Amino acid sequence: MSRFFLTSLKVEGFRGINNETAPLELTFQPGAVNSVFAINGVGKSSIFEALCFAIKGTIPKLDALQAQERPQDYYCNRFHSQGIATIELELTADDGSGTVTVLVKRDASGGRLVSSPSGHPAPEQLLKGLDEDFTLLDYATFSRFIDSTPLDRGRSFASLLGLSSYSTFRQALQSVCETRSIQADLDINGLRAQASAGEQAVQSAIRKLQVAFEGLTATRLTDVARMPEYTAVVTAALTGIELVRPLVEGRDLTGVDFSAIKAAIKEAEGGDERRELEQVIAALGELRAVGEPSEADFQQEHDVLRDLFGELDGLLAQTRGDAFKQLFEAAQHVFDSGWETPLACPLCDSTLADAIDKTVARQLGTFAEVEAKRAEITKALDQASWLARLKALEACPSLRIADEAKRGVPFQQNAATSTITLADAETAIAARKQLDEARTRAVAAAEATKSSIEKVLPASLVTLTEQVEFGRQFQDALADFNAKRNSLVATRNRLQVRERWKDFITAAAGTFADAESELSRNTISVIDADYKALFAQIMGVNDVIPDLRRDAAKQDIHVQLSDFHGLSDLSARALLSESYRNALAISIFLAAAMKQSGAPRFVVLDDVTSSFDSGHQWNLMEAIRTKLQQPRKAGGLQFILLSHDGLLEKYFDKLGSTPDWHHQKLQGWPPMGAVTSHTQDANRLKVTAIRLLDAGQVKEAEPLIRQFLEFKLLQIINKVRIPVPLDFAIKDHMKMVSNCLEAIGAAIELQKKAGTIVLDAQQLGDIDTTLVPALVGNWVSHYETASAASLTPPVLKGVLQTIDNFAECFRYDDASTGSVQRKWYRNLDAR
Amino acid sequence: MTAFRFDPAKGFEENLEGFLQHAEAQDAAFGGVLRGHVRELLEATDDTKRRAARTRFNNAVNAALDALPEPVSGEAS
Repeated sequence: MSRFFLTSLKVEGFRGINNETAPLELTFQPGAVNSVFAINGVGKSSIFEALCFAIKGTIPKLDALQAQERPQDYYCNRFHSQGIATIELELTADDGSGTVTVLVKRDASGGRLVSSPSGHPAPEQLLKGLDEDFTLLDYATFSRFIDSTPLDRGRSFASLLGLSSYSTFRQALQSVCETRSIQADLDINGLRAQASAGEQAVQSAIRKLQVAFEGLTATRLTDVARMPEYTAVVTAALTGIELVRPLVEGRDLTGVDFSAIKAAIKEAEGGDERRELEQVIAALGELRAVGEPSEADFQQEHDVLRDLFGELDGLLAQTRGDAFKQLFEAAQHVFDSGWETPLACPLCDSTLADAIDKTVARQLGTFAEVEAKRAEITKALDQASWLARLKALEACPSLRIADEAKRGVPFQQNAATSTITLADAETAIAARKQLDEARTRAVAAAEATKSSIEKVLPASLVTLTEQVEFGRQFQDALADFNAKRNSLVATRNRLQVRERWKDFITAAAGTFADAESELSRNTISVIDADYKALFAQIMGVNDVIPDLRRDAAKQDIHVQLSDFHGLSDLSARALLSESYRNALAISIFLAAAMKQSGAPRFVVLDDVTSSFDSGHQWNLMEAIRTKLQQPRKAGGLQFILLSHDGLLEKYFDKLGSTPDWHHQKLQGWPPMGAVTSHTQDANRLKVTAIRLLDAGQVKEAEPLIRQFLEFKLLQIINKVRIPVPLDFAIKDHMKMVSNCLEAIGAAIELQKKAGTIVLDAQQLGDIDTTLVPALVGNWVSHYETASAASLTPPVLKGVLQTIDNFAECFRYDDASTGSVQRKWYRNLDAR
Repeated sequence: MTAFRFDPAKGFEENLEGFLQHAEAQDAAFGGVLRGHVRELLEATDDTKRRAARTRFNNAVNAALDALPEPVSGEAS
């Protein structure tokens, strides 16, 4: 797989970089450390943010804004007339397979469009591939790393080691199999309740089958697995009745038409008593199908239930309600993120007898016990035979219980949501007793009615009516049994497959977590020697040795000092100064980055040495140059450093002319004007300014004119070696047009008085009488004080020409080589 | 599940593929369901995204489990 160097970046209309029609262009060399320097406010941060936006699609600084601040309005430069940001990256493959250009645009409405002018088939995927955790690093990332809690450090460390994808996936996998979530999402509890209800429904259907079978055949139905056999017995018994044989013989029981049989009987031997007998037998069948109550068992269940409610009340008394539960949960969340002083009160700092995290865990344990007790009560009710009986009695048509008077089903539903009390349970218990008493009375009344009818009807008719009615009941109960059993089987299958899935995904999450943990530990051990050596080189110490340790069971990463001037096993966070902490973080990040093999083969470091003194900065730069930058380091990376540090700039300047180093400096006036690199053609400033002036855009042109003037004057100072005051030399904000002119004027005056000036008379005359007064009088005083209205475009174009003429006063025609060459004076007193 | 290790020389995608194959070796049907919906979990980088991803994933799994061939779970009583 190709890895990529970043070889060019062009930016227009993004954040602080306006550069309308003339993008800021930076070039980066794969084989050298690339540094970009800019004083504050000249667009350095915009460059880092442009890379963030191109590669990650977001800008962390804007992500942190609140919605009402409308962060989406601050991606594009506010002064760009089109409101369109363009960022173009040139990426060069490290295997020589070519160069890819990717263009990222953000339009005024916030749309992001990624294309590849070079024809890459999937530029967005290419950018995504560059989004490794080490690609874009800034000071905040490093300082956060050491100051984080062990857990947060562990998480960011996963990112650092290129393991963030593993960490992200592991956390997501763990969240999907978290017990409460998976039971809710897959409706496991609902299916369990459904299966329990289905089981009771099947048992109810079996009891109906038993009553009907026994009534018809005078034998017991004992084994539901023999149901076809029982069905055949019922069919045979009905076939044995002379009157109904033609309507049963040769038919399956399910196909027998009992309405036709009853009509045949009615036709043969009619009468109201027989019909009433039929109804009484049906009612008795329903009442007997409920079965006889087992009061002793019920009493035992009631006692258990009352004990459970008593225990629940005891546990509830130990808690202080939901508000405290939320408080304890919030506190535990804080402690889980790492709490360094568990024996100190977080409010008054007094010393605690027990560690506060243990106290909170103990309190939460009580709430957990309450939940467990509620679950125990729910389970006891699911299995309670008295409650099942209450529901069966309420469902018995012969008892005629109105729906709104039924208590069993609502009570069990409320139990599942933990809202019931012992009083609710006692009400349901009493209801069951009352219904059983009602059932007993109903059975007695039906038997009395049956007995009185049997006295007035012929015995044969009574028997016939009973047999036919039991046959009909068996047919109904069989259909009900089959339907309920099939439904129960389907529910059980759904429940079983979900419980097996729960076990599977939980085991899978555990396997993944174990593998990730091992990978993380291995990766730490792989970079161990490298980051320690890098830290020692940056800080120049050998008796402060950091040590990263991953918690065996958790994600936590602890940063310790295995050696601190002879002492061992101490907290790095507590002992190390800011520069040491950041040096440690940088060492760890860069050591980890060197081990990566993903698509990006470059690292962009934005102002990472802010807390360093110059010595440590130099050490870090040397380590990058000599030990990390390719090709000097085989298999190394390409480094791109962004800095606003003036002292570091001197170092960059010094190395900028060597093969190991490529240095660029930004200049300009963001966010309204253009930002340019000093490697960009300065004449472009002039051309752009003239184009704007020709279009009447004076305000847009003025910053470019100032920039061009500064460039030309500094060019004169550098080329002719004009001596400058010390603060001019070291303070970038002193390098303004008037300061440059003052330095040049003073140097000329000195040389003139010494009689050593090399400029010819014409040049001196032009400077004294025409050029400098024109500049100072007509432009500099105006622009730098901003006290007058804008000058007209023709006047400003004259200023641009004047500065070119002014620069020519410091050059001469050299004919010493035979051909004439225009050269700069060596200095003011020599060619 | 039996022991499984990531290969440090491989990237995440390759190791994820190895993990999925390992899961399928433990249970082909469930491993297939995991593979079918695993992408839902890859972009869940914070708590909010994780909650949304969890719901999407479990809903998809719920439907996929119903579509699996039914196991024989024995008699109902």
